[in-house]
Amino acid sequence: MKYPTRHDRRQFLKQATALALAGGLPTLEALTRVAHAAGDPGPTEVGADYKAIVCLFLFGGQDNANVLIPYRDGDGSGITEYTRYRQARANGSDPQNQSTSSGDLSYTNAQLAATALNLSTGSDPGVGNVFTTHTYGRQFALHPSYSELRALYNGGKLAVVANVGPLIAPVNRLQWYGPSASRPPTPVNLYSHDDQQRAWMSGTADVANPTTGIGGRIAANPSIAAMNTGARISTQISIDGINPFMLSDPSAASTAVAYQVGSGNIGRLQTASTTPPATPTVCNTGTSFMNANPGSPYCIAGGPVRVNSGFSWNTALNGAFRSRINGVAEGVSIYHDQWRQTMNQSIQTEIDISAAFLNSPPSEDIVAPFQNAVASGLSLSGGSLGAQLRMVAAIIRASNQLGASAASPVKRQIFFVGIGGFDTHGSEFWNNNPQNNRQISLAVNAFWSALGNVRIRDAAGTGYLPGSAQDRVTLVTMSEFGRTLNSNGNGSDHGWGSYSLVLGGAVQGGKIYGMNHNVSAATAGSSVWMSPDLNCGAVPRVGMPPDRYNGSLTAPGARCNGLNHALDRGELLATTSGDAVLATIANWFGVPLGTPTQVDAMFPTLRAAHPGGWNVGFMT
Amino acid sequence: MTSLRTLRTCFALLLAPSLAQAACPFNVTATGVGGDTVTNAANFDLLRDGLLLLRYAQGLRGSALVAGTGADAVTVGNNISGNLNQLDVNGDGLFDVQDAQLITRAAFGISSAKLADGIAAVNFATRPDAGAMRAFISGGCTVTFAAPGADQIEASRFLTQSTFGPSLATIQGFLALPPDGAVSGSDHRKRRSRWLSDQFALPRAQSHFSYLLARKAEYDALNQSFYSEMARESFWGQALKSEDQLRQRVAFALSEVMVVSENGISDPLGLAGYLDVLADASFGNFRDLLQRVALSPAMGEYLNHLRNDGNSATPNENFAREVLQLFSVGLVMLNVDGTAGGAATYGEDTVKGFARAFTGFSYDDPYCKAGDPGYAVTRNNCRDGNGATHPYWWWYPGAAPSANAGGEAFPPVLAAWNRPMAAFPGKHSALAKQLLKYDYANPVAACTAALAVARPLAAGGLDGLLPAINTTGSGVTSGTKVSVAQANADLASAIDNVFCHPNVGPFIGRHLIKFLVTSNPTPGYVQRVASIFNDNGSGIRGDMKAVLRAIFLDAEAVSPATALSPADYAKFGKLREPMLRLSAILRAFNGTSPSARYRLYWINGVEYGISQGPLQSPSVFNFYHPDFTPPGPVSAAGAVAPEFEITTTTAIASTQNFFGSLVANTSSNNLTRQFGIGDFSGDCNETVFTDCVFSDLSDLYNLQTSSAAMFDYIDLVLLGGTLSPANKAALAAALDSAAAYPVFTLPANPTANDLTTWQARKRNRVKAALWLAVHTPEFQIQR
Repeated sequence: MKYPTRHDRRQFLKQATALALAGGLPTLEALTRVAHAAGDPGPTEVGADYKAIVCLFLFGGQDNANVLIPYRDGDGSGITEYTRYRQARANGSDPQNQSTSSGDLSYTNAQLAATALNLSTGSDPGVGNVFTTHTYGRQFALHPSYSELRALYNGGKLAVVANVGPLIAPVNRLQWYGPSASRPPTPVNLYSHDDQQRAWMSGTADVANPTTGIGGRIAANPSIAAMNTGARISTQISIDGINPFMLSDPSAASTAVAYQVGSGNIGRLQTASTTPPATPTVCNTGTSFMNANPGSPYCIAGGPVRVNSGFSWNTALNGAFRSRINGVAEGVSIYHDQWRQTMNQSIQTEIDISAAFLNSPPSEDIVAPFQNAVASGLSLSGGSLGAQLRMVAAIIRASNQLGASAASPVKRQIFFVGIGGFDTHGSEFWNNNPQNNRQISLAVNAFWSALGNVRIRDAAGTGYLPGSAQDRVTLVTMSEFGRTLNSNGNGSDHGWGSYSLVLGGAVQGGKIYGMNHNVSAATAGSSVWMSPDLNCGAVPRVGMPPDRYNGSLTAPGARCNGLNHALDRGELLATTSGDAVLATIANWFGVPLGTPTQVDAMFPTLRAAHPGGWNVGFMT
Repeated sequence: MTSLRTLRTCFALLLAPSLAQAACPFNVTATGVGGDTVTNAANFDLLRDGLLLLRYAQGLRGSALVAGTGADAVTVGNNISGNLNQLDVNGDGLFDVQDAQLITRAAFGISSAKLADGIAAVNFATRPDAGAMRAFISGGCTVTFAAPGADQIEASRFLTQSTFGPSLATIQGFLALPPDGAVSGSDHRKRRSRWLSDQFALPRAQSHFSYLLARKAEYDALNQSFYSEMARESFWGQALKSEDQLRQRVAFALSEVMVVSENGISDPLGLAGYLDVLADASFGNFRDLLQRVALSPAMGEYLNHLRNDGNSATPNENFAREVLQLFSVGLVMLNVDGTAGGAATYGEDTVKGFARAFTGFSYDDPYCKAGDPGYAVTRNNCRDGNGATHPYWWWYPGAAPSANAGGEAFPPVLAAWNRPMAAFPGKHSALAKQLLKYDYANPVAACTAALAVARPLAAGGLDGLLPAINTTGSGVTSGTKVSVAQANADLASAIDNVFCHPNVGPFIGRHLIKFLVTSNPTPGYVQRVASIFNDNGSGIRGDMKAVLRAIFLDAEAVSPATALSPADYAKFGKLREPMLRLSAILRAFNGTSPSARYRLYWINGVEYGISQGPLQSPSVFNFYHPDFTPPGPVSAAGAVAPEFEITTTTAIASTQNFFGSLVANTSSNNLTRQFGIGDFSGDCNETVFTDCVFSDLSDLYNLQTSSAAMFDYIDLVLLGGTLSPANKAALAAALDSAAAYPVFTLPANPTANDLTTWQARKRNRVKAALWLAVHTPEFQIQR
């Protein structure tokens, strides 16, 4: 098959733009159909300097104790960490006889066997600034639903960052339970879902109503904005609605203002475009208007364009509507102007994405990995995580059509996807959460496979660089907080520190970063379930708050019994800030973070949370 | 000759009064000289002019037309052909024999339903029945709509704030109310007060729960599954059609504060029971509302305090946390004007204390009642007469417990979904409970007494600690278990502790203002409402009627343009929630389902719907955060606009597509019955499928020859009268432009093709006007 040259494809794009202006909702399915009908979907590729961040938010507060689970007899001591985990989560019932109805929240060895992680060798706690905790004989399994993620971990592509959460200053158990006057500042409204979601996403956990998000600041950063100058689409695209992560300052570059697309369509307003289609098309209208997809330029050609509204394309009506949809403030009502601005952005960007999709449609090599996973249980229904990540992959493929010109494709993209259902207080702990985790593993893996089909165009545009888009995309999971280790009788309650999973070809995976607490024996008279990781290392490392270092901790392998970050129900005070995780990725992305001023502008509380250095070290 | 003349005179005398005001062009012999015009009813002669009209309608022209009447053929012909639209009484596009008959009957004084006797209803007729025809004639055979006056616009604004949407009828009904002399201010404010009083007095027509039971019986009889869509159906039936609009609107607002969602609990009966809790308690006392919500089994299922076991060392904290954070006091101390005071309202110890207070409640199991063997000891081991133990604590309304040893069956008791949860002895925590700590300087009487139990007063060493329950002292009959009475008293104390917290007034007051009136109330507005919450003037705290009066009668709600500075007035109002935009369209045109079922089931999708549906929030945090600030004009003004959080660049298109499709749907061939909207699972066609909502567009069809009149009408009922004259003129110009749908006038002798064009054009003009209207910023924004 002969691929058209870039120049040819630009010409095609121009012609195609007119088609894309018709009304209707261009669905991913329809777009794929076009790819086949046209016979030539164009190359599956991204530009030479392309990079993307994908944020996957787990709404509700991830049950961290069942993400990375002690497995078997890791440390060789008498009572294993695994057994203590079972005891801690069994709510008083016999951990050898798991009974979910009695509030046992644990998995058994047998259930964990299939997701056990490679036991890394060596005794060094890490290299340079990196603090890993996977060594010293502790052995873990991932959640039993994470079989695909397990393969990515063992393959060195997935890293685990332990005990992550919003953090503005190091705080330990003694300080937490001590006098409030001497307690370090903590994130505003800990344990509150929406506040901690905003804290995670904004990187400003010290304020209640942040006005910008981390994604918004990255996109507006001059270095990033310069790479996307003139781009016809925002740097930030959410497939999961408006979110605090992507909030940008109103004065930021226009490419920083987040755009939202659906998981199955890109939000086309019917009859909203400025010019009627050059080539009339007729569409499969379905039986009722909710099923109809009229006006799509991707339907079979051959008849007059129709829109759902029941009358033919009408420039006069359309013009009357559009005359007020522009960037000029009327000043009568802030809500009028806000609505007009949003509508204007919707129309303009949809036209560009449609055109890009028409030229670089989500072809078989993008869609098939997702479709193939359906047999394993992946959902691709509207709004599902699978459908969201499929749309992300499709837009990544189309990215080189969205730049200012053929010679300067979009170089940086930030995506936001989400999945809910993690607030596992009650019966949903066993009824829904395993399935939600299953969707994560299947969808992320399908996304990873699709990226593997996307090649990297070389700078000259004449050939391809080695590798695939996997090397240019970093996916990171986040959740507002972790949960209690012990049970409330049905499920677990709100906590703080949790896990982040980081996936990418540029990630040094197969390792656990940050301080991963050990499940300890319950102390008499207390229900302290967790102790610090047994091995601290000798030098300050990210994930180890400075209060951990004292004269007694000098040799690698020394036990850090001094200070604990676990609270009475086994919930954890975060030790690595979410900001550190995202700053580590932002650094890879090209955000200059070499000076304190640069860091403070992007992550205002990062240096206070990590006085010893913030780079978690999982990016190459 | 004389006798004939006398007769004529007699008829003229008889008929003149009924047509004197009509100004219909029936005097077809008029010469135009000396006041003898076609509309001069005094000169109308039934035997002459009526005959001429009949002849013309039958196709006679020239000398055949005027034979024997003495009239001039050219004059008569011109008088008729020049006024065909006004002579087209039934509005089918033609002046024909039917119209001539109707005119002569009317002229003869027939004004009852017999006016249209024997005259078949005509397809595409604008005026299909005698009433519409009579109105047309008495209105002078022309249809006009006066530009809305200030009083009409004020009424429309108010009904937009307080109902699921105004219509011409409800606006006129409001204006017909006698002003309430008990309040000061404008007649409009006085009418608001009267309307509120009337609404407070309206009983509920039907409970959601009883509606669902009736539906369930039908479904069971057909052996069909019964899903949560039924709760949506019941919601829409009441929201769109019920007379108690204020209650419906307030209950809807409360459903977005005290959220229960299908995403977490899907039993339709539970959802219906919860809708009833909110509707029933909307006009009562907030304390009662709070307790009903806390004891609602749907809420218990949703936020996990149903079967919360007090014997657990760590009871479930979900409801405890959210009832404080989201339903009542919020996270930070508030000033009475709603501004943040800075300090945290409570700590984790308080969350754990409330978690204990909300233990020991589950479905009100009908099979174990006081007096049953074992009841007094432990309800969990309640036994029936045959010695069988029921799993009462685990009993579920939809499930039948196993038959007992004697073979006695225990059928499901669905009504338990509609009853408060009941306390179970032995399941409620006996431990002390840390509640909210606060200093209530001048509590109203109700709180003085209530607070003595939970001791929340910071002064004097009181610390908000609810003491441990004594299960062994004198008078305690339940042995070592917490009794039902003790558990209930404990919970009531916890509710009192929340209810009397000083944050509740500003917290709930601001929420209700934001859902009903404006996203950015001034602190003064919040303070006025919160003060009434704190004390309604009679020493009562939490009087919801008084709070609603304070909200709707405040100058900021009544006359914002004058009450607010220009900068604040630009921030006044809100983005109408998508559901309220949908209901506004349907109510403005009397949307009615022939079967009285309102199956608006699948509207909440982001990509093909309106991103919202009743009790379909994605989480307990509602569809959007109350302080969401979108970047752009809103953030630049330092304001919030919560509803924009679901107005994504995708959703804004999907939502407009939904409304655009709705108003321009072509499902019906009957011009006046439009926008079939149903469950979207099949055709919504009135000849096939009756469960869809059809709107009555006859008013617009009557006005369709005047774009200005149509937009005046639509502006009043859909846009709150906020469309500026310039924008209105621009819409009218677009509609009338040659490229769109200018008025089509039938020629004198229309062909079949002309008629088809004429009918299609009428329809397109009405639809296009509505399509344009629902795409204006003014439709989206309530001001």
